[in-house]
Amino acid sequence: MKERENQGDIAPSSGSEQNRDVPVCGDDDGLVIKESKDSRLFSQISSDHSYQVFFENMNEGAVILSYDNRILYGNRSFFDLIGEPSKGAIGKSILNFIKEVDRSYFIDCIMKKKKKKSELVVSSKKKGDFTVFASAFEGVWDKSEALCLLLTDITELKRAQSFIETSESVARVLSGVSNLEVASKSIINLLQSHLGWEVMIIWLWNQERQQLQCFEIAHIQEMDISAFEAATRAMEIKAKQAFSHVCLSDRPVWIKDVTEEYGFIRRNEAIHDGLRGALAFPFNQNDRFGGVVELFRRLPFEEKVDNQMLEFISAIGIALGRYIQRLFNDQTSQEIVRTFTLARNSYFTTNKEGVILNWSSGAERIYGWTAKEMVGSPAYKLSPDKKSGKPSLIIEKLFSGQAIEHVESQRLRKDGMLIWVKSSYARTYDFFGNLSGLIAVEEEITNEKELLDRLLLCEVKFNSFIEITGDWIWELDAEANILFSNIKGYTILGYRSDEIVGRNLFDFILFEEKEKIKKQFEDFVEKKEGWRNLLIIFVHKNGSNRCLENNAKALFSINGELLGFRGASRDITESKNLEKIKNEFVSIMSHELRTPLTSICGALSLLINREMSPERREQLMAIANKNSTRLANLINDITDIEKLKLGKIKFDFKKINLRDVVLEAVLTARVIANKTEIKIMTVDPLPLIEVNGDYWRLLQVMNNLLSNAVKFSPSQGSVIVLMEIVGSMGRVSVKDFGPGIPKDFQTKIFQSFAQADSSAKRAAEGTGLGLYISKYIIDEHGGAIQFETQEGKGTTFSIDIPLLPDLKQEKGI
Amino acid sequence: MGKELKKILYVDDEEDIHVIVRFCLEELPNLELRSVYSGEEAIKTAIEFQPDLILLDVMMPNMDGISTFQALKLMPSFAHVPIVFLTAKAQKNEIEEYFKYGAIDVILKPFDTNTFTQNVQSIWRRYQQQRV
Repeated sequence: MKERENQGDIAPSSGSEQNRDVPVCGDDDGLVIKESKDSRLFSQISSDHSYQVFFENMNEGAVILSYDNRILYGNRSFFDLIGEPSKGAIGKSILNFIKEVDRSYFIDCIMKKKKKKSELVVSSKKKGDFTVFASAFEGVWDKSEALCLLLTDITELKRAQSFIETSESVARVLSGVSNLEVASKSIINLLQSHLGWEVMIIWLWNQERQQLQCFEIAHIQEMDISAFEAATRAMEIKAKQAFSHVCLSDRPVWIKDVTEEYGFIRRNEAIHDGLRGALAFPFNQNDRFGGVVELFRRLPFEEKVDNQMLEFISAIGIALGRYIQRLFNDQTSQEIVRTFTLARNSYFTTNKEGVILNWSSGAERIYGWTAKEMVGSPAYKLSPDKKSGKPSLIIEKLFSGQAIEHVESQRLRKDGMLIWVKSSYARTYDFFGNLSGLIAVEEEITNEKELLDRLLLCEVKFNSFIEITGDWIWELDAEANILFSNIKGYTILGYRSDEIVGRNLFDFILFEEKEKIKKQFEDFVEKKEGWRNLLIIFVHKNGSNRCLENNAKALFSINGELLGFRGASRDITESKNLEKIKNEFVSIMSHELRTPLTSICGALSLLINREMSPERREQLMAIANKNSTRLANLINDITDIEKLKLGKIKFDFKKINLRDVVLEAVLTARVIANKTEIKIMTVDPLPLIEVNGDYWRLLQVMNNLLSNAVKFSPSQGSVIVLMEIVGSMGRVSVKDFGPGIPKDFQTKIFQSFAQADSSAKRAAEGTGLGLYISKYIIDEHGGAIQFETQEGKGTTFSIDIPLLPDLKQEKGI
Repeated sequence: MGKELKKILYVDDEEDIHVIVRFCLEELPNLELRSVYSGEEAIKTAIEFQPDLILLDVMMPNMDGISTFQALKLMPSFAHVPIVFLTAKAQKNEIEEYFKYGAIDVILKPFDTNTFTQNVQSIWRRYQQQRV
């Protein structure tokens, strides 16, 4: 750099030396340079002197000055430099052609101190100011001491130097500052001082959104560009169109004055903020378009854009591109590192090949592998089946655009234990939007899995209990709407669960019961309590009534609000019926026992306590006797039934002749029948029918049938006994001509205490157990008992017993 | 003093018990006892006999005691005639039912022949008092 020592004095020096006689040199003046021991000597030489030729052919401007600054000689290049013809310049002070600020420096340092080399700014009438490099030589001109100056135009060199210096400064700033805002401010200050740019806008290319986004705006301190800045920031979406020429051509574009450029989108704001000159150039990241830098200034942009300028712009672009990439990477990695450190979950990243690049402390905790062990290892190290290469499948899927989130899988821990993890994967991109690998976020769920398994097991158990139980299990809300119903709802009420759930409980309750139960339900809701053993009659889908015994528990929310009820209903219709039957049985049994006992007790008591005639005494004794027998028979029958029911009666099956049984029974019956003059007749000849049977039990059946027939026959009536073979059965029929069996009684005839059913009608004396026992005995023989009856005309009972096989053969059956 | 018990209609299908009851009630010389063996017979006889009191068995073939009771109560001339059930159907709920129908009392079988007559008379007297 040139030194400026006396900037104040810029007027041409008018010292005594200026008055010395200096011959005027013309075009044809010659220049002689004589070499002395220490210096070169100039002398006026003829125009054909070889030195003149030498000077005239020099590219540098050569000028010989007297020590009072006068121009004694100048070559062609010199006059070209100063933009003056030689005639006008010879004899003039050189100071006229030196920029004012450099004049005193020129006098003090070059003329007086004989400084050999220096930079000067020359003012040319044609070219304006420009910098020259001056070399000074002392010598003799026309016998007087003179100074020879060789001047080289270094404007271009200076410009190039400025570009280089600016680039270097920018690079220095960028290498030392990690904050883009601070860096941008420093850069714009550099650009301003070197190149006059006052506003810098950095646009970044968003690969995903395919648009440019304003990333940073910097300007020199004394400016206010708020309007322009706002317009710029609002421009993000349209930015691509605005820079399409930059993006597409990959070349800088410039506008001399944006205020005169009607196509410039931010023209109004530029006018408002006084911006005029504009330059925009792209920058790359990893050889791809990375963004655009815009520069603005208040002066129009009039510089020539040559290779130097382009190179400079390119250098700035490269530096910025690298800086932003580094900055972004730094920020991303800082964020990732922070997240990694903080997170409880496992984080790891891999490259495209599935090699782990980052390994968080969470991952270390879950897997037991340290970052040192894992970074650089393939991710499939974590897979229980290492051959499956699952991570690469994941990468494949991810890269094909599929989302992989909350995937549950088993993984291998360092200690060989299998663990469950829930993983989500995301693609990672480099700064330029290229897929670079994946990031995996994993949460260990081994405990949750186990809990869930246990819970599922519990649920399965619970569900099986619910399904196995014979009870209808349900859940109601506080309005008795059914929220849940198990499968037994179908068994008990005939409705499927989906037909029950959503309906109201009262829809299924017997109409006559509804009002009563509703009141009770409202009471339970009010008291917020469940119920126990509440009997409700429901209506089955088929219309039948079902008696259900209900138990329920109230359900509450966390705040104690009544949510509804959960409970179970047991179908006790059958047991209710059984209870009714049992009660009736007890009632009838009691009656049947009390009735003969009344006669016995009464008769005996009278016999003991009263005076009476012998006839009467006899009558009472007969009564007591007869009823004692009746009571004994009854007790025998009851005992028989008990034995039958308990399976205690053992049948003695053997080959017997059914005719023997019939004959013995007829003989016995005739004894009783004779009293009422009833005839028992057999249809002879009675066939010989051999069966496998218990003789005494079959005799019991025959006795019962015959005694019934006698009992219901009118006096002097008759009973007919018939034996025949019907199919593979031997049949015995007993026919009477009694009143017949009333229709409503026919279905109950083989039930216990059939005579004395709940309607309290007695057909005739008897225990009412005979036919019940008979049916049981015949069933045990594999046979059948049936009857035909006609009211007022009589009844025929018949029993069928299977024939013995050889008899069947004889009969050709 | 109320009206003297003079006529009893006894309805029961058990002939042996008729014998016992008749024997017992012979203690009352002024009493006329009419025995019938079915509900249908009871209704016919009641019209002609005009009893002061009816002793009614429950378990009888065809028309049982309850049906007979209801039929008698439906006849205006018998609505006021007191009926006592004399029955071996003596479960607690059954007895409650007899009273519900309107029986003035129930005598259970087997009964004590020594106190039977007194028992019938005191039922009659209590009934008389209640009517007053």
